[in-house]
Amino acid sequence: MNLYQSYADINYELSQGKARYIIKGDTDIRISGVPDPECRRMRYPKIGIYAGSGTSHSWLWFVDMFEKMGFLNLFFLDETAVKNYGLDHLDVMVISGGDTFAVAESLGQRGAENIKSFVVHGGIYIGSCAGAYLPMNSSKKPLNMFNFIDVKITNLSKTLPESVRDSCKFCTSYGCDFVFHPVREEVRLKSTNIFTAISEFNAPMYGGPGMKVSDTTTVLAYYCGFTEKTSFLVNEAIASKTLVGQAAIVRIPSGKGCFYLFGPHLEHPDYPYANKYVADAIFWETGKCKEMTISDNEKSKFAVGTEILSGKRANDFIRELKRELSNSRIAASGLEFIPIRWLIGKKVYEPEKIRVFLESMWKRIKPLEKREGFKIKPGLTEQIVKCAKQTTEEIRKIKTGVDNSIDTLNSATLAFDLLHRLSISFFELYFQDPIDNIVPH
Amino acid sequence: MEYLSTDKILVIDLATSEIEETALDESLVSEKIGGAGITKYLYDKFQNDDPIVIGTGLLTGTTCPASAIGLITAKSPVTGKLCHCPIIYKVGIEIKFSGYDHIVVKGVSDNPVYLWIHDGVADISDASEIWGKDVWESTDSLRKHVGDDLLQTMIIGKAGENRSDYAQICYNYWSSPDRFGFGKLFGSKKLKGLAFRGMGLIEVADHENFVRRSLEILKEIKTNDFMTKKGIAEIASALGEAGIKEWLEPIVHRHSADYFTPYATNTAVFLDEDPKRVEESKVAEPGVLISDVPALLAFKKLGLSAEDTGRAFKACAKYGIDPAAVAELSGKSSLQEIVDSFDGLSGTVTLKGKGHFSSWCPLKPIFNNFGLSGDAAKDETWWERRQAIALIFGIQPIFSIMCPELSEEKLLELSRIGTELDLTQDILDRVVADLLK
Repeated sequence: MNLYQSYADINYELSQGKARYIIKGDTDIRISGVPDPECRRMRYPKIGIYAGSGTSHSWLWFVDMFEKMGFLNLFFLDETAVKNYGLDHLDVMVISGGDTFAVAESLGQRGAENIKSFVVHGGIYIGSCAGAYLPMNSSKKPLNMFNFIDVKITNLSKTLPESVRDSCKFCTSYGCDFVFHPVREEVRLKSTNIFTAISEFNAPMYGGPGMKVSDTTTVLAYYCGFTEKTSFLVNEAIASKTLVGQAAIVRIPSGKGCFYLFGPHLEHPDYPYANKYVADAIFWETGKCKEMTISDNEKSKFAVGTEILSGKRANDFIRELKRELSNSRIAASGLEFIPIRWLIGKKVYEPEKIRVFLESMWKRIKPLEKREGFKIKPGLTEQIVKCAKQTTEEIRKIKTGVDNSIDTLNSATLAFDLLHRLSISFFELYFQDPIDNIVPH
Repeated sequence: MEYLSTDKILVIDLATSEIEETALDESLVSEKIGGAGITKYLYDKFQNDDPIVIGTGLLTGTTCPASAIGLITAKSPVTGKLCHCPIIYKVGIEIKFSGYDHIVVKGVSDNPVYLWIHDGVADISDASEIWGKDVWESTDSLRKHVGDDLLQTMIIGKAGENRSDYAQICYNYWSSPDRFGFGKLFGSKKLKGLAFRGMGLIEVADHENFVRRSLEILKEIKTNDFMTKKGIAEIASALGEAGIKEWLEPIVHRHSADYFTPYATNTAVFLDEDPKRVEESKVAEPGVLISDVPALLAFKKLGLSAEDTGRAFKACAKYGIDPAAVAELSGKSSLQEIVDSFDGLSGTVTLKGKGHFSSWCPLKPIFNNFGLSGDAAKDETWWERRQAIALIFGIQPIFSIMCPELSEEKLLELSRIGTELDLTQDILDRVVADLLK
């Protein structure tokens, strides 16, 4: 059976309240309908995906992965949500790639405290790439607001090794030092624990850390080598010394919860075994009973909206959204022939990244068109359409700017911000529960 | 209709601004195949509304060699006949990629509008800012507004806005096969034109076999001698025009082919810059793309130099007027006089054959003789059928009269593989007969 379908089936059963148990065996985990003394009762987990300021596009990989595997109880968080509403209603919070400094800056002290509280009270933090760097101890502002776990990175250096290609993505300054990235694309991992029966598997790296921990029992996988798809940014010997034998996946307990840190992007859609690893970890960890400060049914800021949109109004809204997404896609594709890049914060963005957001929404328009209706927060549809129109406008402005040799950094920064906001609203709409017995307006 | 199709027919009423989409029924394809077969059916269905039907061939946009074109089917405001005009360059395929197989435009708008067709979305957009602008300015303006230089347009110029009988619908910046005054029809509806852009995909029923067979056919095509030739001068030369290559050569910059067409039927000439220059052009509008062999020869016959002919084409394309009509009716022999004649042009243009298909496509076989005997009546019958076949399947019409390897049998075979429909020679014969009556 298809790997993703098997997980989707399990999650469907969990969402319907069926009892399923997860057992950690010697070489793998097992899921059963029958309890066992060593088992945990599985839950249909509530997963928060951070998509706020500073994140790049890779959180969309988590969306794709979770959707394929049936983890549909998803919440999309920006910095305001994390700071003002907390995370206690969630079981899992994921932070993927981006600009770690910008993420930290936007979350601020309050966001940091809420994340810490969430984990200490039983929540599971999964950090991939930039999300892995975030909770590590650091003296550098604004990362020093986090300082949750003692993990050292192996790709930190006072003197930079020579870059052999792609120099704009090769390093980031870190005080007087540099965080450098010895490779991009595929690396080979060797698992130490039993979340997968496959002892070695591949996953892609795009700036994530090699890690060193004092307690090696917390290491779940090591970098064990490279493949023919590995792109070396430094001499292979230096890359090997920096990564091979170092920790690629760690699990650090904290209070009743834990931090999972991934150097590579285990959520990348082209790596099913890496995706399986993440799913098994979520099933296992959420099998423990988490201390909830609010009831399971209450979603606070994330409460299901009270307005029902159906019939012609729903069709008109989807058509309007489709129009603007199409306009944005077309304008974005027009930029892809132009050799332009933008440095936003500490991260380099290319025009192709604009379309990653747009395609992620575009491919979900057809399923939305087929829905009978939506339960929405009042004003959400207007907000989405307005944001979509602004996004089109801003992308077109970039093209005009390029054609007239005008600096486009401000427009690009605004465009990516709009894309984040649009995506968050879009996916809030997309992942709500299906409507039954809609009363047409 | 699941395969080789977007499964959508769009009907736009300019008078009421209503936009309706219907599915393309498989039964319609089984009966009418595609392209001109279906556009004629749609024309007949909506004929009381004097519709303009824009369509695509069944094979348009696939790996079938030369599957490049769309078409316009409408009643010519000049001849009163139902005519079919190919949509060439990259415009034809973009129609399908924009999400529709066929588009019916009916009614008259109160104000100037253009239709923006993109990714399965159809918008009736205000054209007040481009009404009055020439074809080049209009295309530039639309591409700038949308933010994509790959936007494809069908646009009228001043000739169409002024409802000249010789007004052409131009494609992007260039003259088109429109010999029927369709530009006048657009102008009368206050329709400045259409813009297309899309990233749609076309599903193919048995895609491995379809591609394999397409490549086999392409391999057969490549055995032809014409594979060593390029451009309009070679076509003119093959039609018996002496000295044309030497006449045109000094200003030739490059040749270009329509989508997936093995022969480059279009020639770009540079007029304001050295055509031999290999760097990116420093001049904003260095030249013009020419696809119209009869018009080219007509200007040459007036005694114009190659450069002045190029400039005449450029002026016609910007104004949106049929260069063949200008060459035939102006009665002038200098460039400036020819351009000055646009507004006051009068007379009847000679249309060859039954007048259903555009004589932009030369009326004789090119490079290959297709086994024809030279009997004028039989040649004309052959040409009419060949045009009908090209416009049903979406094949570049000029290429269809140079390539016997692209036979009806092979086009039907590919259609069957691509759609899993039982499309037979009998059905094709009936569709062609209907088009030619």
